[in-house]
Amino acid sequence: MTAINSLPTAFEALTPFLDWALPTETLRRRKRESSSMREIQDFYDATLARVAEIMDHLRKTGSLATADEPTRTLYTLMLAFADASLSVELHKSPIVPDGLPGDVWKPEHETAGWLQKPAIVMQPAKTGNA
Amino acid sequence: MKLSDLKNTRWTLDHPQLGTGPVPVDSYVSPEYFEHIRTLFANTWICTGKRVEEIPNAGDYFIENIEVTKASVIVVRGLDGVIRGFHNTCKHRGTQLLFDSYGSVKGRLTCIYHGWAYSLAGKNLLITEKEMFFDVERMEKDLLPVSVDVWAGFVFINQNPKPRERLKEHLGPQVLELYGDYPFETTTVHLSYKADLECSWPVLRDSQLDGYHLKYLHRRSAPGFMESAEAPNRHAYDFKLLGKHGSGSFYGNRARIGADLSKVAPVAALASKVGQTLASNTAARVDVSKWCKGVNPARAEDWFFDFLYLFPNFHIVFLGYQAYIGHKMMPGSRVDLSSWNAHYYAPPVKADDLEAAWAAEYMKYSLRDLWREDGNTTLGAQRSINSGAFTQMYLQDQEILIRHAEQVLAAEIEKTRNTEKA
Repeated sequence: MTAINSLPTAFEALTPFLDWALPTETLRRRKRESSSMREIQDFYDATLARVAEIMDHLRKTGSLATADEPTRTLYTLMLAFADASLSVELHKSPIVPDGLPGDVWKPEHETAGWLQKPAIVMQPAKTGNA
Repeated sequence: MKLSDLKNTRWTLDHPQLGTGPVPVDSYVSPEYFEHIRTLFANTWICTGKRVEEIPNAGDYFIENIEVTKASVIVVRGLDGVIRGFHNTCKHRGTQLLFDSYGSVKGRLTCIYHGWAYSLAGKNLLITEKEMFFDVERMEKDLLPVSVDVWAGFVFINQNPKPRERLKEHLGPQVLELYGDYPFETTTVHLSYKADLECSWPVLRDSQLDGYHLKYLHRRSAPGFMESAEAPNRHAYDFKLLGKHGSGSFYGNRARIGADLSKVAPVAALASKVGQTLASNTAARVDVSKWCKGVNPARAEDWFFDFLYLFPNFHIVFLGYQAYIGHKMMPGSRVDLSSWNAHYYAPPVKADDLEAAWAAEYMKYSLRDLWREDGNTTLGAQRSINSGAFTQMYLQDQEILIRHAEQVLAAEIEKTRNTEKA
């Protein structure tokens, strides 16, 4: 059986870290920046140990649109893992040392306006009316 | 080519008009000078950072709100496929016609207030209760146009409906020649971050005009990327002054970084292999001899990035054959306010490739954090300028484009003022 916010059976060992699987980039970044390095490191270590199998699972899944709910949760957890890895591997800190506060640097791609964007259709460049 | 092969190590001296003395920061603080910047921005070509494939169908639009000129501009694709621009202003009572930053309308623009309607080419189609108005024939009923043109798929606007020069003239023959063959049309926008900052626009502009800061400011987020044992004090293969614009090309040891990272930063290494990130050895993916002339002009294997500053407001940072950043930097409503909108462009991620989608998200977050490092330097510099503790900059050779940008700004302001007088 698959409850909401469960992981694929093979990755159930990561269930204690499901509070990282938050739905938006902003929420995941805030989670990272309000966690201790110990908490971030624990999440990072546990997920890194399984990362090859997880990537394998994602590769076989193909499209997120048709993926089952546990796989979608696993993917969201992997997005939090990508964010957390920056703290462990690069910043050595939950926040960006000497950086702008995260809430000043706003992701336009998460706004309602951006979500209304027409679907992109690749095309050669054309000249306008000027 | 290696950095140590370079004969030219003092680019500034090739351009005696730039001088080598300290550069005053008047344009960064003077309210009087800011009024000239305002006039300039109302009369020059501004890159919106948005691309033609973002509004592919008739009726697709985006809105540009330009704080420095107080304008709100609709950029919309017409039934004939042509992209046009209009002030977002109903000719009846001045109400804004559209409110969302992106969207799509069905064939016409209709005012919410009294139902006046306009074609996608700006012609008035409907005045409701027309018989109750006076002298309808003599009313100015069509939308007020803004000039729009496209280069490399990027939409540019000029608020002057009769610009002093066409976009191609503004860009100049060198930019067209050097960058015209970059495969921009295979790329589209992946992300957009915005910040309203308490710093002047020139401070913000300068923050992306040198390659010298990367080794220091970004030592954590781009560790060792620009460390060169053979030429420890040089970072640039090339600088070019391209009329109003300018470019630089920079060393990076991405080939070795990949191997080093897999031990100390396994997730960064993984993302750089699955997708394209800052650490990807991009010069090894597509033969560097096949790149457009302007990008990586030294054809170096040890290459990190190039930038192209398009006067006045757009910096393109080329990270690879089909991967680049676009920094749109705009003055705000006052001399000490500005806004920074950073984009990253690459080929669209395939919907059925979840691994590549994950790597693209990794790239997003790593750029976000890198840019936050840049953002903080601008606020501190502006405080120093505002306090009077800082009045001039000592610029080293690899900050040549900051010298150039200040001279171009002064010259373009002068030209704009002369045109206004004439």
